[in-house]
Amino acid sequence: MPAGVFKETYEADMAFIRYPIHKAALIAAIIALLAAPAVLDRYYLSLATTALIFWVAVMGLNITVGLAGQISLAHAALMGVGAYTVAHAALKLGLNAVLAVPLAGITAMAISVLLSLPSFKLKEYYLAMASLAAQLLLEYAFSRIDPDQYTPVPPEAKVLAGVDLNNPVNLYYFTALVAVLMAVIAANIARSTYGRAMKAVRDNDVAASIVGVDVPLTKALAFAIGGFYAGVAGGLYAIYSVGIGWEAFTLIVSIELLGMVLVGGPGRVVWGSLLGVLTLRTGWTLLESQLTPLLSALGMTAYASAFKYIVLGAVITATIILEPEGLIAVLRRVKEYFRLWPYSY
Amino acid sequence: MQNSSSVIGEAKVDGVWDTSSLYMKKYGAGERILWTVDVTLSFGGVRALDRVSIVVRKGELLGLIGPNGAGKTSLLNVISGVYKPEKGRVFFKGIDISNLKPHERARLGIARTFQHGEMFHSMTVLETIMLRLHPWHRGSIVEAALWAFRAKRWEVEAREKAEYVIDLLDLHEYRHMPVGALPPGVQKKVDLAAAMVQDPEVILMDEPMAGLSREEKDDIVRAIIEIRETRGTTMVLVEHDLEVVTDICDRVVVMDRGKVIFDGPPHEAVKDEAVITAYIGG
Repeated sequence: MPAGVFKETYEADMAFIRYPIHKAALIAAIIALLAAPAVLDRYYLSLATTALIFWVAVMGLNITVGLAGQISLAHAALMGVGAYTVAHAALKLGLNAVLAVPLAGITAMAISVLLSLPSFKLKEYYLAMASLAAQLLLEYAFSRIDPDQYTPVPPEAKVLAGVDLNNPVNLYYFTALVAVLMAVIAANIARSTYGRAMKAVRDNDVAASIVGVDVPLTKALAFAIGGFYAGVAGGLYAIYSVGIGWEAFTLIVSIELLGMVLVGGPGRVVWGSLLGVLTLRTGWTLLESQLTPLLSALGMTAYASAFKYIVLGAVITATIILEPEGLIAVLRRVKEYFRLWPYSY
Repeated sequence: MQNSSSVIGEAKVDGVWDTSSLYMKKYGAGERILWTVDVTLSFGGVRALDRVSIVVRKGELLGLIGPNGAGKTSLLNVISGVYKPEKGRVFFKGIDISNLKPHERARLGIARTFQHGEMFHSMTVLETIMLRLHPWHRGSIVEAALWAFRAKRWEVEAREKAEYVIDLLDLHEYRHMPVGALPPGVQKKVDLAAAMVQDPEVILMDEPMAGLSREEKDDIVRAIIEIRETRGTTMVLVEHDLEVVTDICDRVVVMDRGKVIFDGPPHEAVKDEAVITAYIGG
């Protein structure tokens, strides 16, 4: 009798679920996702919801930056485009916010493709500069569209087919559904020939063009997908918020998103992004709630926001130095250790 | 005296350079599959290739040798479409491919390996090999995103082709390892496998043995012989190592300073005065 897991087709060997442990993990994840509202109180549930929203955004950025190697500092602005699309579609057109989410994705995608044009000529720092300009330009546009820094998202637009997304539990389930769907899509793109083309462009774009990869098209595609994810995340953020202000989509947020990609694992589109969000966003929020009383006891409340960037900066720098492949690589080493246990190799 | 570099390619038929008649005279019958006519290429003031005309016969293993800077790699780059020559043309199976892009030439059946095996250092062996099938890919990005229909069928098909060459070149254990983490000998084998996955009629190998140890060289030689025996692929081998070339090649073309200085059987090449002078320096 054969011992172990054997595959008889390449299709089976290329599936997401290849080993019994995958199936077990999937079931555990589904139960955890479904049971979260029952276990978590309102505060933690909203933390989970924002984590899922940012997961979507970071997956998109991870495709642009991690997979295709095209640095973008305009990702938060693209989220803003998505958020304002949903808010304005609901306010002015009376469109349902849920139905406006795909529209938000497409709008941000269109703008992201425009932003990809400099990438045909520019690389690395120069491309980062170009995207920085785009971020500031979009911020300026937001400040003209939304001078009061407050655009309400009408609550009546958040009800679709009897499901009221003003209810945090419903909103959580909706966000989780969208996030999981986007994660599956991201994983599929990463393992497809398009994903390989992006990796080839990242590693060596001249060689990529020699082996038959259309480099400009691949870059545009990476920006388009990244933009779509940012737009959807922004749209979800608008549904999550009572009202949106553009201070949520500034340059510093773009840099934080980039930090999440670097810390989680660049190129590890799904799980790396999730780890990045859990560390830098959720992790920080939890830490902050512990630190705030401490800081106020020390009379340092005024420095609270500076403190945030000192800690985040230190975490990002430490990750880049100690584990350039991100925290996901640490997890993989742990997995490898237990796979071989009790032997060392 | 007539320079021996232009023995082939001197005949002008109807105003077009044609090598066929002289080729036939020199080598007799035998189908030519790939040939260049008077290829000239300069970098700035340096003439890398000077009216180079070579012929590759179907099924043969042609060694392309010469000292550093002789223009071997440049010629390979012209044939595979990386460089566009100033003058001259490249033909493949009777078709003028001079104006085609590298991947269009790949689609016609010309594959190549690279001097630096570690081209996509963070990609795994399997990904590197499957990447080379990208010009043939089917299925839109939407199908790929859903892992469905044509995209899924194509991925499975590509995987099957990749596994065939992994099996052929014995790369099983490295399948999921990033190419950058592999020893140079294995990287070169991966590169060879990546070229083979395109199921080419001609494979151009750019110094597949440069910088390798004796054992690694033997491994590559075995792989080359294995491919010839199982697939009958026509091969052009750019190499420094004269010993390897004389051992396995059917014919050699020796280049020096952008010109062809010898074209014939390997055992004659090592005795040829012009070749010896070029190698030793004179």
